[in-house]
This record gives sequence, structure tokens and C-alpha cells, in this order.
Amino acid sequence: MDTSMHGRSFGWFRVAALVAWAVLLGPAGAGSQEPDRIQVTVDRNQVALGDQLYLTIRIEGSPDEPPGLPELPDFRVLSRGERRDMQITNGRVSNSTSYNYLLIPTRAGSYEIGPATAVIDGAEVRSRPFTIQVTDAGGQDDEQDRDLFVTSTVSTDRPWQGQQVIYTWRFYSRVPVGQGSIESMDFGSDVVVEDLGEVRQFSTSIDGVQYSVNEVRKALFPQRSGEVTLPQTQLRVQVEAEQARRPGRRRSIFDEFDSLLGAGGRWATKYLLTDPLTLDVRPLPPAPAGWNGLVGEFDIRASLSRRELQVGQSATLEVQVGGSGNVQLLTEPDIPELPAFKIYPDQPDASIDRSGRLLTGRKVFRRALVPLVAGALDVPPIDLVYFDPEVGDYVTRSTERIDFDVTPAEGEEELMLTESLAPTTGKVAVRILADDILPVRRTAAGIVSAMPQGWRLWVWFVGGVLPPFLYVALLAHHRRERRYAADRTLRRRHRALRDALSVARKLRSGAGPASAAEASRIVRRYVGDKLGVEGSALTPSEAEAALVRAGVDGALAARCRGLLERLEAAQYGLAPVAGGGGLAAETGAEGLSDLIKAIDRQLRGRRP
Amino acid sequence: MKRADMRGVAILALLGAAAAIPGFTQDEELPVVTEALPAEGDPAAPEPAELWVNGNAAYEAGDFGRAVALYGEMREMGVDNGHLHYNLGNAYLRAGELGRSIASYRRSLRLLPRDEDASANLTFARRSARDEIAPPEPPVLLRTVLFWHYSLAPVEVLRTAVLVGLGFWIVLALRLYRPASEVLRWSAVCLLAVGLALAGSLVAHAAFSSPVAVVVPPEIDLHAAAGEGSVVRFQLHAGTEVRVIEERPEWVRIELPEGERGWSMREYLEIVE
Repeated sequence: MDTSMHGRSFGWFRVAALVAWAVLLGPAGAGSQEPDRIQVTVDRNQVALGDQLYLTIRIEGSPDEPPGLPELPDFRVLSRGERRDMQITNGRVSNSTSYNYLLIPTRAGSYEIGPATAVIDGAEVRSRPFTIQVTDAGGQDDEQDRDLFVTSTVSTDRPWQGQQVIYTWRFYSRVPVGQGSIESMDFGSDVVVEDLGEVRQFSTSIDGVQYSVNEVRKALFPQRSGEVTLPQTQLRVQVEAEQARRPGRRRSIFDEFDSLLGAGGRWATKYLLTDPLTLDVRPLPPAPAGWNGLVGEFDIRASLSRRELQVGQSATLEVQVGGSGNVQLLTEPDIPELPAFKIYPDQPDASIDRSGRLLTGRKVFRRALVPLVAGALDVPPIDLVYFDPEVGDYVTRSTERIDFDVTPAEGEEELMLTESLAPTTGKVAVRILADDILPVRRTAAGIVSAMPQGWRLWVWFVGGVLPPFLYVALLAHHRRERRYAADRTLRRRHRALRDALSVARKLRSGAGPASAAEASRIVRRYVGDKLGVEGSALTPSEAEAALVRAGVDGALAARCRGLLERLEAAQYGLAPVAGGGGLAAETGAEGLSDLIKAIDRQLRGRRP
Repeated sequence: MKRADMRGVAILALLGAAAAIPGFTQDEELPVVTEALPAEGDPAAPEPAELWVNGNAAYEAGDFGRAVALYGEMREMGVDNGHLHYNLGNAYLRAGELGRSIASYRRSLRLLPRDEDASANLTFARRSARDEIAPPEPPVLLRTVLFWHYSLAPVEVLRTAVLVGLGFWIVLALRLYRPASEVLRWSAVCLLAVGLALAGSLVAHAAFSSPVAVVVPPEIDLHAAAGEGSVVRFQLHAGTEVRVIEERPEWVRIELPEGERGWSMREYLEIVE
């Protein structure tokens, strides 16, 4: 029984133990086998100042929103994007999202990277914390042993409020570097920042070691009193990976060849941080009247363009205020009342010089003064109040009184502002007082129409229509002349009638031998020209035959022959063949013309 | 070249000279008129010169309304030149008629496109316009490329076109007798090109230049349709220059640079052709 009892009790004990093991260890055992749904990893857990490390948050599945980063107060965190992965294992699809960050340590020490959080499918998951060691990076405490380092200094760490503080940032390097950029140089809202020129490059020697230096200068103006912290400035620069691993190694000639041929592209990114600086800004003492915020060292000058002028004429009063300090606050100083003048203010000229070691500036204020009364007038001294940090108190500077003589105006008072000369530049300071339209015209062109009625048509006819017709006529004439030149027979034929009639009109009337010879020559020449033969050699019968061959009516041809025969008879003193009494009329200008026209009408349009 | 041929070429040349006689344009400097010329014909009817002198005197005396009336009378007599429109613009502006003054300056610049005084006064007048609407002007690129079209008055284009045309025909005539001359050939080509450009400008002036309307009253309503009962789409103010896209006997449809369109009564607008 004992045995049995023992046996039963042992059995219950074993069951209870199994249940307890299952209850107590079961969840832990199950949890240890399921992978973390959020994992935070770094590429290394020990890093030196000036180096960087990559942090990756990997989340299984699709998070509802980007993960929450752990607190990293001693690191600068730069996002480097995200990546989504998909895996298929034994037919099961799984997704994961990786968020990448670049961490740059800002101080040495041991840091626990707290849990990152994310919300997946409505449930919050947290990663496991881990530790990172940040070392001082051997040798960096000793600047002489460093190849790359940055420094930042200020001209004074106990400035007055508003005083110009020169912030100088320098990057020293004694090894070749690639591209570099200042990623943060933010001084916050407690200081006003003005650039002082471009980046300066020069070489310097520190304890016999030659460095190449890049220098950036800023003019800072603290805006409040008390402790003002200037944050760290971070430089990102590319250095050769080999160089990054072994800073002291000298470059060989092969490295130079590699660089020359573009093969030396093993670059690594390095981040260099300056130490933060603290300014103990002193408050300004209570300000006197007339102070408008200027802190620095300033001066004031005043001049007048002319010392002798008439009433109504103008002179330019030029007040120059300038110096070094918070020149942005340069305003026109209070000019005393000038009741004896009309005053016309002008736009001031301002210039700020950033090229020197300090921020300097100058403003020129001009006013045109027109005296209203004659006599000895003056411009009283003009004061400028500013706080001088060197003295530690407010300083007042004044211009000298300007005396000048004003004589009565000759004739009417007239404003002649354009005649006032600026005293320093010699240029005429012109100010437009008012504007108006230009006056009316009196020229007689105003009573003549630009294009009188009807002229347009005439111009079109003369200039547009007539010339083409004239040209066509000239062209026709030119072509006819060319044809005549090439074919003299054609010319004779075309001009036979005109030539014959022209000569016949000059024929002397009568039946004498001379007239008969001339009339005979006219008729024969016409027939010859018209028919393309030598007319003077034609006998009356030949002329008749030629005319008949050319298509002339036989009667008319016979008439022509008869006339020629009678003319020959008269020419040689023989009795006319028949009807000699009518010869005079027949061989007169009209008779010959009628005969020739009659023949021409029948020959018109017929080629010989 | 024979005498008859020379005669033909000479006739063409004389025509060219005739086309270039003074009086075709208003560019020539004419004497200043300070006294009225004696009237010819009807002694009761004033001559343009008398109106001109009296108008200028009224303007100088500050009687701008009378100056407007006298200059306007000259226009009714048929006198039309850039100087008259310029003076009329001045008189209108002094009399407070901003819209009519801008219209007159535009007319003046149309006849004297390179007149700096008219341009300056137009700019001055435009500063008084209330609406911030850019006046309808051709694009700068177009004005540069077609500089002759925009820099020359139509009458100048006509005169130049006539001279160039005559030169072209004369050169062609000379080529009849010097056919191998390269100078004459290229001269003809160049003159033809210039002539065509000028002729195109004349055609553009006559056919394609859209008129511009200038608002005359202090404020006018622009309706959606041509009728007083129509919806008022927007309002314009005196001196605003807009493009005219349609004209009816009593109504004019205008378009703003942004493309908005509206109808206005014709009497409220001064239309510059």
C-alpha cells in the first residue's frame, strides 16, 4: 500500500511537475523560438569620435508607421532611407522593412541604445537595448598627430550684447581629401550671423607640421545677455579609405597614379566636430538719448556741396555714417531743425564690406537744402551715439558746424536741384520732384494731313500699277529690237509702210524729173522692203510680178507698175505713157500714200 | 543702251522720285506756326492753320476745353496727322478726359510710331488708369522680328514700298541691257524681298490689325450680351485699353488680356483703328 501510495503520490508529483514546467517555462520556451518582430542592429558597437556607425531597425511585416527611434542625445542622427524585403521560405511569404540611420557620436563614453518601438498590426513592439562604446580615437587629443581636425574660436568670449564677435572655423588637413561640406553651422536665434567673405584657403605650420587650412569666418552679434552657447559645427569630408584606416601612411607614387587615372576611388566619409563654445554676454548699461542700437566703433561726417549760393538754389547736405559693428542698424542720425531751408530728402546709399577681418559698413544720407532767406546760414553739428565695447560705455561723435553764405536771388526764385553737386563723388545728385506731360507742338506739320484724301490712290497708281506696265512695254520693245537686230529683213518689212509714208510726206509736189525719181524710189523701196528684195533694182514689171506673187490684187499691182513706168518716163524726160496730166497728182504725197496704204492693206498679215 | 531704252528707264526713275516728294509723311521738319494764315475763300470759315494756332493758344492759356474743340474742328475738316492727335491728347489729359487722351496718344503713335514725346505722354497718362490691365500690345519677339511693321507708320511703309517697288522695276529694266550683271541680279532679289515684306506689312495694317478701345467714362459695365438688360460681368474704368473683337452699330465686344469678354455700349468707348 505504501508502495502503491508512494506510487500514486509520485505519479501526482510527476503530473504536477509537468504542469508546472509547462505553465512556467512553456511561454518562455515558445517565445524564445519565435523571432523578434523588431530588431535594432549596428554595424559595430565600438566607434571612435569622428567616425560614424550605421544603425538599422528591421521590422517583420508592414509597420503601421515608421518606428520610433530610441533616445540618442549624444549622437547626430541622419536618416539614410528604408528598404523593403520579401522572402519565400517553404512556400511561406514574409515581408520585412529596414530603416537605416547614420549615427555620428558627439562625445566619448559608453551609451546604452534604448529600445526602438513600432506598431505592427495594432500592437506595439519594442526592440532590445544594447550598448555602444565611443572612444576618443587614439591620438586625437594630440593635434600634432592628427591628419584631419577642425577648430572653432571666437574673438572674445565675454562680449557685450550686440558686440561683433568674430567666429573662426578652421579645417586642418595634411592628407589629400575629397569633397567636404559643412553640414551644420547653426548658431540659433540668440545671435545674428553675418558672413565674412568666402572660404579662405592657406597653409600653416603647427610645430613643424605643414597643414592645409580652410577657414570660414562669421560675424556674430549676441542678441541677449547671459550665457549663449554656440553649438558644435560638423564637417563631412571624404578621405581615402586606406588613409582612413592608416592615417600615418605616406602615399606612394602608385597612389598618385591611381588618383590620376581615377582608380583611387576608395573613399570613406569622415565627420569632424568642433567643441561647443560658450559666450558670456554682458548686458549694456542704460542707454542715453539718441542711441539707436549701434555697438562697435563708428564715425560721422557731414559736408555741403557748395558754400556760396543764392536764395532758391540748392546744395546737397551729405551725412556719412560708418564703421565696424552692427552696421545693419545704421540709420539716419537726427538732423537739427533747419527752418531757413526747404529740405528734400533723398534715398540713402548703403554699402557693407564683408571682405575684411571685421564687418564694416557705411551709409550716406543726402538732403537737398534750398535756402529761403539770404545771409549767413549754418548747418548745426549732427550727433551720433554708439556703444564702444573697448571703452565699455556710450560714445557721442559730432560733425562740425557748416557755415555758408546765401545771397539774394537774381530774378525769380527757382529750384535748381539738378545743379547741386555731391561733395565727394562730384556727380550730380538728381531727384525727380514731379512729373508731367511734354508740351504741345506748334510745328506746321500739325495742319497737314499725313495722307491727304486721294493721294493714296495716286500713289498706288504711280508706284504700284504704272511701273509694271511700263516695264512690260519696255520688255516688248526690247525683244522687238533684238528680233530686228537678228533679222534685218523683218525690220525692213515691219517698218516699210512707216518709212515710206514718212518720206512721201516730205516729197515735193510736181512732175519734174527730180520729183519723179524720188517718188519712184519711194514706191520701189517700199515694195522691196515689204517683199524682202532689193527694191531699187526692181523694174516696173518685176515689181508688179512680185506684188502679184505676194497676194496683191492684179489691178492694184498693175496700177503700181503703171505708176512706176510713168515715173521712169518722167524721170528721163520722155512723154508720159498715158494720162500725163494726172501724174503730178498721182506722185504727190497723198497719191503715193494712198497707193502704198492700199498695197499695205493687202499685204498685211502675209509673209513674203 | 539706246535713247528709247533710256527713256523707259528714266520714266521709271522719275516715278520713283515723284513718289518720294515731301508731304507724303509728317517726318519732315516744317516751320513753327505762330500766326494764323489768311483765310482763302469763305472768310467766315477758319483755316486749319488758324484753328491750330488758336488751339495751341487756348492750351497755353489753360482753356483746355476750347483747345479740344479747336483741335477737334481740325479733325472734322479732314486734317489727320500725329502732331494733331498728340496735342489733342495733351488737351484731353489736361481737361481730365483720361480715356480720350490715351486714345489720342495711340492715334498719334500710329501715325508717328517713333515719336518719343507721344510715347512718354502715353506712359504718363496710363499711370492714371485705375485698372491694372496691360494695354494690348504685340509680343516683344514679334515687334523685334517684324520691326519694320511696328516701327514705321503705314504711310511710311507705303512710301518705302513704292520706292522699293520702283527700284525693283528699274533694276529689272536695267537687267534687260545688262543681263550678266550680278549686282543687278542680287539687287533685284533684295529689292523684291524688301518689297514683299513691306507689302505684307501694308496688308497686315489694312486687314489684320484689330482695333483697340479705350474706356472713356470713369466706370462702365461690361455685359454678357449686347443689351442693357444683360448680366454685368465686370466693370472697367477710364483709360483702360482693351482689344475690340466685334463691333455692332451700338455695341462693341471687347476682350481682356486674360481672355474675359464683355459687351459695352459704343458711346462709352473710344475706338482706335
